[in-house]
Amino acid sequence: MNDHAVNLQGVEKRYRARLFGKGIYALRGVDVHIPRGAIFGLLGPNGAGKSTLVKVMMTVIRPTICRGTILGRPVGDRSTLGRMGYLPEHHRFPDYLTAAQVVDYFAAMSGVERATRRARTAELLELVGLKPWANHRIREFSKGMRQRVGIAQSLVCDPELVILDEPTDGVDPVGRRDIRNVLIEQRRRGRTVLLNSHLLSELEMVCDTVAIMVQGKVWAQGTVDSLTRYGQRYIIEALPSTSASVAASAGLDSLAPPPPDNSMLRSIAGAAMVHALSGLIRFQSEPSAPRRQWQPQDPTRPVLHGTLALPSGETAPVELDGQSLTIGVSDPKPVQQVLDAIRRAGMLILSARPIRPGLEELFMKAVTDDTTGMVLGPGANLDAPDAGRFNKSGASAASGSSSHAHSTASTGGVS
Amino acid sequence: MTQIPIPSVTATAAGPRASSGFSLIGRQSLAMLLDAYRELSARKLFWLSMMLSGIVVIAFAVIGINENGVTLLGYEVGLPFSNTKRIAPATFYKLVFQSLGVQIWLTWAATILALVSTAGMIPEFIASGAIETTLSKPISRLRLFLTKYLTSLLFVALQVTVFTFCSFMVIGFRGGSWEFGLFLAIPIVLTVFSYLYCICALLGLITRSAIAALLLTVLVWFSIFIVDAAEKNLLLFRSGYDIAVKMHDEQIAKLQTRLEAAKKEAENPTPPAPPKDSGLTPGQEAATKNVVNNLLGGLTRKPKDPAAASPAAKQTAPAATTTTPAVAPPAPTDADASEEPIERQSRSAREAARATRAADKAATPEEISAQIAEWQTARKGSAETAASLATWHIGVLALKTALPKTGESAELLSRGLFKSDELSQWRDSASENGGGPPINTGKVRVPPRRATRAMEEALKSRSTLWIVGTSMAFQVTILGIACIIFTRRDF
Repeated sequence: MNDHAVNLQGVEKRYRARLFGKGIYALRGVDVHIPRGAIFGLLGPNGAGKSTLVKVMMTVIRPTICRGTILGRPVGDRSTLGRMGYLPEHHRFPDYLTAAQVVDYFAAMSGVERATRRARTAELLELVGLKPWANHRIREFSKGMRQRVGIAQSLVCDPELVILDEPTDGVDPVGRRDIRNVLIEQRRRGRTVLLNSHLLSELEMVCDTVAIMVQGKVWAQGTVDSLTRYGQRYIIEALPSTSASVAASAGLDSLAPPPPDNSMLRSIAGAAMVHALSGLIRFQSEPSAPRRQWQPQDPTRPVLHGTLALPSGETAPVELDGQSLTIGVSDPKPVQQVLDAIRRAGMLILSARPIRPGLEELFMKAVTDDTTGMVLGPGANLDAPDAGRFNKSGASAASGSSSHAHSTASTGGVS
Repeated sequence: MTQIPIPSVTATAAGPRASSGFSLIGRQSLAMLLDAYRELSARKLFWLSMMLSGIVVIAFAVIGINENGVTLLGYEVGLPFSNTKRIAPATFYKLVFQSLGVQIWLTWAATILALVSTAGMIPEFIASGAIETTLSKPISRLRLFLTKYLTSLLFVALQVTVFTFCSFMVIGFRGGSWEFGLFLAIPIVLTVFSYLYCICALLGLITRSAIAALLLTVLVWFSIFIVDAAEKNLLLFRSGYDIAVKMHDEQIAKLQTRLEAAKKEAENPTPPAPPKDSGLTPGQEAATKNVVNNLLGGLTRKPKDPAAASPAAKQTAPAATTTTPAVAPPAPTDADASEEPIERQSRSAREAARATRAADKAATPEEISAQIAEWQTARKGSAETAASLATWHIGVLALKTALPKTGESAELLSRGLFKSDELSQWRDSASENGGGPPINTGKVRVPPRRATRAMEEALKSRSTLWIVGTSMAFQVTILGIACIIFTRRDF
């Protein structure tokens, strides 16, 4: 796989149990494929194993099992490291050095020649906006400035692959934009960037490909488009003309959507919608709260589930929440007949808009347990029985929910 | 600054791939050395230590020596043993350099300062956030750790080099001799420091804390010191008891010769000729016998003149020693005990003297045989003690062999710095009354100086290879453990 800068399969890391306490099964078979020349985002909740994975790639942590290659060489190959740049999380560079000395020191450790080193140090410090501070000691620097030094340091060996662990940590918006531009420039030059961040908006702006890690596994991975296709949907909001008059008599603005707590109006609108769509959509008889398909506005409010038959013979999920109808399709064609039916029933269509979920919604879906609707807590799964002793079957049984999520995501979204 | 294009150098440079393995290693090592220097120079303690070194050198320059004694800032302190009549100025300066500069300043005070300021280097190096970037460079963990370790020794290397160079200049200008042997102090002090620093590095690696590493290292150092002191004391007593056994043997041999003679005399009673006829009158013969007793290890009492002990301890031939003017003519044996200073006159000493006198006075074969039996019983007791001391000493020595020998390694400097006899005269006169209490065992009394001499000889006979080799083996072991931990750890 020469088109992949990073191609890892089944990376595992188990921390042995200490005298007191359990071992941690930090990585449970991670597969990561990063195409060359891409900006790759690694996201996941705290303790999902993102930094551990990055450290395995940089040989800082010795993996329990690791197959695959980085830049065409096995992981842990020393010669590859000269072609990689790394900005660790919470880095602490020697504070007795100046910014220029830090960059120069790490360049020398990467094996860059003296003359090249000098020129590149000056240029990179200018690039990250620290030129006037080049000869000041790091100990005088703010967090954001240190982060900029770190970026310069990671790029000083002209790496083919740059791994940045939380590069925008503590950086102001201007700095973030600067860093983003540096990364885009790297991509333009055919370099590969791995970005580890929990700032989803940051990732969304620059990443071509992302992987979401949950509890030591890759939950989903692919382009942002392909990952969010599952959640593409149309939301139609309509009110019955009668309810509009009721609203007017109640002294409310008829065209404004009813306030969420106005259950009477909601139920009137809902009933009108069910009536209007009776030939098209099969609704369940009772509203139910759990198993929401999409990110709910108010998880406690019951919604009515249903299915819409598509011309292809498949069905699309439908949710009805008062006057708001959500149809799980990305194709606008099936939506037209729904709109027609609503209009035929004499209802007032307030809006009909396509929704494209962001990384945040994807992220929330990743960390929400499908069966219980509970959001996973941070950290690796400590409760896993036998995780301390690394009983393979026990550990995988405990992580059953996440492996289930993985399979759904990979069948539904990634392909 | 957002639209600054990527510099052309970055785009065109061949990069690190082009560099060969050797230049990569050189570049990395040099960078780490430079980093270590920058780290040191950022520490106040480094400069404080340098300043103190400077003060020691100045103090060193202020001390002088002339024909009357030691001078201090031009003021003269009359000392009978330390003046140019006894000791050459260059030797005096070397002695001050070795005993004060190296033994006290460099291997104690400066070593503590060096430990305090370098104990943090390994914990800071492996601190979370600091080690990741370095580990992710194309350098093997083993080489990374060893290079870091070696560059951490830079502190002491710089300190001792500057100090030695300044001392070299002082001796050159004041003593008038340019002693290049002084520069031996650099590798020796560095080696001694590395014995301790490897412990500090290992502990720093394990505990990740500078203060814990420092305190534990000092504790280990103290233990090494205790073992060293125990070994030396056991060696002193062992040597003393070995001498005592030898003295018994000599006395027994002498008595046996006399027994032979007495028996012969009993067989042929007519000729009044003395046993081993030397043409002396009985009175003269008795006097000679006393000389022999005194000098041939029959030191059963404290000599009246302390100087007499020195040639006796050297076990030179009696004929040769009689020519030494320092040796006083042997006093009548009866007077010996009473002429000793009161405080030295112990009961056992008097008993030992009496036993020898009794042996000398015995005349008949029966009396001599009884004496021999008595001496043999006494010898047996001493030999038993000597054997048990030897067992203990060998045990402690085995322990010491496994540990680094900080003291003895530092002593190596004086081996290299002084010729074998350069200090003997000064030492003979200056440390006349040195040594611990005398050893009283069986029927003899071993003077402290003789046991001390024997101990010093034994220490001197230990080869440099043993001292440095076993210490280095210790260091290699400790560093090996540290390397294993470092290469296997997940940071």
